[in-house]
Amino acid sequence: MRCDFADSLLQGYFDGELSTASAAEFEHHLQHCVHCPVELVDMDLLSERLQLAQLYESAPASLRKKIRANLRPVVAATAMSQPRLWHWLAAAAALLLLVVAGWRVNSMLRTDDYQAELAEEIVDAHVLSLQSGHLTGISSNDEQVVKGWFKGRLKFAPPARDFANEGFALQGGRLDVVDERSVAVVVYTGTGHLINVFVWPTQGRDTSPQVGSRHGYQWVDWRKGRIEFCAVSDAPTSDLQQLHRLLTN
Amino acid sequence: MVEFDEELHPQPVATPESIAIADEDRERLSRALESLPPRFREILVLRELEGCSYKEIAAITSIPIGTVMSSLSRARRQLCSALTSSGHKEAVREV
Repeated sequence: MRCDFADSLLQGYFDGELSTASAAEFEHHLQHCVHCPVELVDMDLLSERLQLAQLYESAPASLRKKIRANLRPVVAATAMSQPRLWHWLAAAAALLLLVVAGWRVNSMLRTDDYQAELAEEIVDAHVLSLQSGHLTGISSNDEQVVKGWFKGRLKFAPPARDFANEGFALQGGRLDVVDERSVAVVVYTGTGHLINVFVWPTQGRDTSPQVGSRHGYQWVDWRKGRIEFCAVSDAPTSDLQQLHRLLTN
Repeated sequence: MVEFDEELHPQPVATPESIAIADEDRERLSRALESLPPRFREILVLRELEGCSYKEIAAITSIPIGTVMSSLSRARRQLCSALTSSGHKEAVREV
């Protein structure tokens, strides 16, 4: 049994990545939650087990120190200017990911479970974009500016249309990662709520909108013209369905 | 200065049995990690074995920090469930 409400905070708390205020808030939650303390103990046991297992030979301390020293200035730089060292580390980590691992790509069938997991991931991404304040890579209500920003960053052209007159004002766009692929997120505000519309290419046929909710957030997912859309918000589902109609017209 | 008394503080001794158990656990962990999707495995290894911060993982993998957090959550959950499932299979085999 898990406490879904605190799941994101739980990870950040365990890894020491929360701000002082968020950590204090989570500690307050811990006093009343029967699931989170158990989960923290389980995570600690798993972490200890992984570290004790000596799954691969670590690089000598001097080499690790040298690599880290080179990494630090890079973290502050933008993601667009990653030097080769990053890619080397990523490649090394991938190799270290157990010598045993032959990369196996499971072709995922679009089952209900998959749909539910995908929606779960998208709602998490929506919530975390609100928590981290990373809402937009480009803030603009100008359709051409937002479209231009996406151009060159993705292999497809997401529709970025403003529906301010219909009650859904374009706020901008950003990139995110869902199901291990880069997706576009078009951001709207409507009826006082923030709405993230996740957009990515698909090979599937057009579908009618499917709706669901998680943690008090509603989502509506549909496919049209080889593009899949998933709109997420704490706005009522009827608002998201209205935005769906506008986007598909 | 008081001398270290080995009789009072015996060091853990590796026995053939404890080595075999450790090997078995390592093998089980390897298999469970192998069963994770590559992206989850990468993030988990960077966090748990390399000790990278979320910011470092985000930069290495070129994904947003929020996604690092949610991916770690799912990776840990899937790893636990893979270990539980392999534990059950081992128990059945032993019976």
